[in-house]
Amino acid sequence: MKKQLFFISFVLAIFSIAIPSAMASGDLADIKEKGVLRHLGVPYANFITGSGDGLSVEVMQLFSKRIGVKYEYVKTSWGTVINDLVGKKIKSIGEDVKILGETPIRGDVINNGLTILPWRQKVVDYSIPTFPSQVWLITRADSILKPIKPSGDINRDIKSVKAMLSGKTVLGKVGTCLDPALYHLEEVGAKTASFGGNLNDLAPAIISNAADAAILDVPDALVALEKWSGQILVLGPVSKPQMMGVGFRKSSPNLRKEFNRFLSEIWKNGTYIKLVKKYYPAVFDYYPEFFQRELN
Amino acid sequence: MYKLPFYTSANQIVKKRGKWQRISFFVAAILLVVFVGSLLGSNYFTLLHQKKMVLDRINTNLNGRVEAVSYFLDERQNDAAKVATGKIVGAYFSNKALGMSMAYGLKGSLNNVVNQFKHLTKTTLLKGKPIYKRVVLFDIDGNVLAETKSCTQCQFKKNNWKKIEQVSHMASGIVFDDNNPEHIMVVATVGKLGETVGFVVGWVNLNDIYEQFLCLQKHSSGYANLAMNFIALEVDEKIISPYPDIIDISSLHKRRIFNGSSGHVYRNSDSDEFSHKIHIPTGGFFVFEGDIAGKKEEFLVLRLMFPNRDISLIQFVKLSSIIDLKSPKNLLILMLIISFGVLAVVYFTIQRNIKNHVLIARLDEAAIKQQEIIKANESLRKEVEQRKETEKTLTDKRALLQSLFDSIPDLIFYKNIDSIYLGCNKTFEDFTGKTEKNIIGLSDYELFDSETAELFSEYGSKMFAITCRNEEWVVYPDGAKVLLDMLKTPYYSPDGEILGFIGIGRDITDRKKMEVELRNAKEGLSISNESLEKKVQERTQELQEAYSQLSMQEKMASIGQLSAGIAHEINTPAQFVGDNLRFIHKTFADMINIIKQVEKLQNISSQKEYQPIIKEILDTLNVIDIEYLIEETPLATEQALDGVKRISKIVKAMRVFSAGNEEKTSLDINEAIRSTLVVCKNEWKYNAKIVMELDENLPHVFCYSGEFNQVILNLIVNATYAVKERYPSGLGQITISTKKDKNSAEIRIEDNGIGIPEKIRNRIFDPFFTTKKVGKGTGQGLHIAYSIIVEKHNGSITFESEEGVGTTFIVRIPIKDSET
Repeated sequence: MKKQLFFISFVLAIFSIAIPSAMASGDLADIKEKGVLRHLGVPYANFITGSGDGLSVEVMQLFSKRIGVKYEYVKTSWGTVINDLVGKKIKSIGEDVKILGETPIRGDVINNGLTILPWRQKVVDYSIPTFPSQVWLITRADSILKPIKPSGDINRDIKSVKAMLSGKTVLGKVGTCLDPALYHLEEVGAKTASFGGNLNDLAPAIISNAADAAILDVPDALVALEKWSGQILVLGPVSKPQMMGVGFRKSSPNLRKEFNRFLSEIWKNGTYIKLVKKYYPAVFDYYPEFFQRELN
Repeated sequence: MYKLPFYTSANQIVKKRGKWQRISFFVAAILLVVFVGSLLGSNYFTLLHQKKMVLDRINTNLNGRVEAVSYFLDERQNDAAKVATGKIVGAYFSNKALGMSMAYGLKGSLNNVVNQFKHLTKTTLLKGKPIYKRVVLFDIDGNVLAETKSCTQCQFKKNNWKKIEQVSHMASGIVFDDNNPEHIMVVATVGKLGETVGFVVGWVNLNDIYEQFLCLQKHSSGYANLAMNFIALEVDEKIISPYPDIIDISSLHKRRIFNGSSGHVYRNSDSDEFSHKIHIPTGGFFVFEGDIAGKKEEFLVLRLMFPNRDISLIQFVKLSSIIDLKSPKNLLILMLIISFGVLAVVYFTIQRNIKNHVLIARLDEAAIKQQEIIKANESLRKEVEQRKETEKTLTDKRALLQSLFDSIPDLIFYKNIDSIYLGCNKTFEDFTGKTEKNIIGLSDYELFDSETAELFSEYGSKMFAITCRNEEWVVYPDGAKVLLDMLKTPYYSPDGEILGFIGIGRDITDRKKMEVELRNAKEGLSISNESLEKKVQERTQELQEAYSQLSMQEKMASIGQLSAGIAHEINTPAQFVGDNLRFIHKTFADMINIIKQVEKLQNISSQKEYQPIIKEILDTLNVIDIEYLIEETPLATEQALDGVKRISKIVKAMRVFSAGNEEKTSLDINEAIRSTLVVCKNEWKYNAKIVMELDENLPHVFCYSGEFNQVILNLIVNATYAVKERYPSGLGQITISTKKDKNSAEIRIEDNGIGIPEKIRNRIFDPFFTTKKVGKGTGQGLHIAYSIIVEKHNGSITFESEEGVGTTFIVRIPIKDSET
């Protein structure tokens, strides 16, 4: 009975998103007509530095030029970035979503290291994966927690990491890919907390002893290791490798299709790899296969 | 053979000259020796000083380079040490020590190290080029952890690992790689908890050091300036030659200590020991011999140690390139020998050639004198020719002058300052009756009679200082007496001295006669001109008067025509206005009767239905004040009729006044006077009262009526003016009377005005004479009146006047003549 009710509410939620979204349209033709592409973004790692540049910013600027419209950056937050795209107030419950109400549409596309998560896929369409990721557990250098020794088996490594979290406080951020609930950390006895600040401030929070550990995705962890060199430790993974992508409204299939075509092109001509090297030079050491793959 | 006398003197001169030449030579030789000696001495001390300076410069130069390279190497060691002890390299080793794995985070740490190395390479530049060709982080076992890969030549071989390990006891050092002679390695130790855990190694190209600090520019053929000097670096007791293919430094062998004449040896440090392997002592100049490009050369060598390093810098200077360093003493001796040798050679050469010089001098002198004689002869010949030419020219000019004199009809003669004749022309010969030959040499007293001679002599003495001109009567031998215009002027020598005077006499007897006649004719002509001018003035005045009269007449005729036209135009409406007024006057009388009958009707009408109408009529009559209208309207129409009559009278007067024509007509003078009074009433009515005493029996006269009217008008206007002048604010009186006086009609116009002053009474009929103010009168009125009455009508116009009493003008026109 409970499952039936949940299914009905889910179907209604999807309809409530799809129908107004379809009405709102905002697909490629509309964007070309308006002459502007609104890029929704949250300053995060080196995707959007907050200083007017970043990997995502440069990619979307190239895409705007490609489709012949003006580029416009619309700053948002992790709590509202999906809402601002689909025009609904969305609440994630585990891997499900709940519609809480209406909100204005503020942008046409999300690109700021948006991890592809099951709940997000229910309200947003993703492009071809643009960046690899994984969620690591980090702590400060003088912590009693010690890094695991890689076993070669990701599942075993995850288990080893979670095993040391019993009774430890772990910082994450609800509504993002760093939501502790996504990785079932409480199930292993960890005391999870949602960080109130910006994701870029998670590493300094750990250094200043705000919690025993925190979860960070790989791009952000690499930036933190560079920025706070010698002050943070990576203990090990809490997730399997993930992918990031660019998010589109479900009513913008042509825009998404055009972006995928564009991404394939800059992937092949080396532009995209060049931009990744500029902002994440170390990522090639961790995920060489991802960037060596061919896109069609 | 002719022998020139100066040959003997030339021989003596040469002998004397030879003696003096010898003395001069010895003096010059002594002076030369002293001069050369002083030069050599000065040169000797200068060379000593220069030698010292050269050695100082080489020493200072090498010292500066040692300091520069030493500082450069210190900075590189600091670079490496800073990286090795830095947070990023330290973080890697810390993270590794804490157990972080490559799979989860440690790769990121190494990547940060690589980024730091790249940054170091990019920012540490020498002349815009990166100093570090390669930077590597080794672990303690020599494994490469992180590196930049910009240099393929900077590979490291394991056999040198011990050298790097030797640095572990200090923070950083410089290591020379035997396998890579073009580079040195800058090594810094990475420590963790007091133990060495790795090394940061940077490769620096020696060529950059050579080029930047040792001023060596590498070319295809090696390093520039190699032929002169070069510098080598010595590390670990081995010389690192930047040009091993050109010179084998190890082949150099010591010849001697370079000890200058002053005995000074340069020392840079306390040590002067020889290097074990290369046998080059430090701190002094030495001379070494070696091969360079297959040729034996001597080099001046200086070797200086780097402070706190087992590295030294060696300067090689090719000795042959430093001329300044040759022994000054030897040079002095050589220069003295050469000087004396030159002096001796010069002396013997001069002695040997002195006789030849004497002979050559004589020959040269003879040749010069011969040339001078030839030139003098040539000059003399030209002078003779020139004189002949001048004489001929003078003769010709004299003949020309005489011909010119003779052809002139005037008397021409010339005398010297003593008044003795020197010459004359043909005319003068004729005048004197003697030939020129006979005249020359005579004085005036010998030539003329005493009277003429005195005259000539007097003029001659007067004119010596100046040019003078006189007219003189002289008598020709034939008795003819003529008047001569004599011009006498002095003539001068080229230096301005008066030599005499020239006289020119021209016969002006006929011309004088003509001048007298001409003067008489001019006087007669002048008298005629004065008479003519007077007549012209008179005619001009007459013409002006006639023109003025004509102008006035035309003006009056125009006024007359205008008046006639106006009168005609006014007369017609005046007639029908008068007719209508008379009609209204008569009709209104009838209307009054009707109104009176209506008033009676009210009293007699018994029918009530007419009463309101009658009442309404009577009310209307009351409203318009019919009683007043009945009383005043006839008076108004009568006054209007009177006005119309006056208009008609004025119009009629104007017509009469303006009815002049070009022919005489029969004129009623009284009527003409009345009309004129009407026309000019505006002139007199505010100033005078008119009294008319007209003879009604006065017969008509034949006259030009318009012009007669104008006379009367002018007289009335004048009388009005006189009255007004006397009575400016009152009324005077003008009395106009007419009567027949014998055969004339007499008109008298009398006023009681100011009268005519006695002094102007004879001028009042003159044209343009007026006593009125400017703009008020033209002065033509009485003149025209006189002209009309007297000249056109054969009448008369006279006046009687008394100042302050009045004036009476009397006009008389013949009746009989008029009638005819």
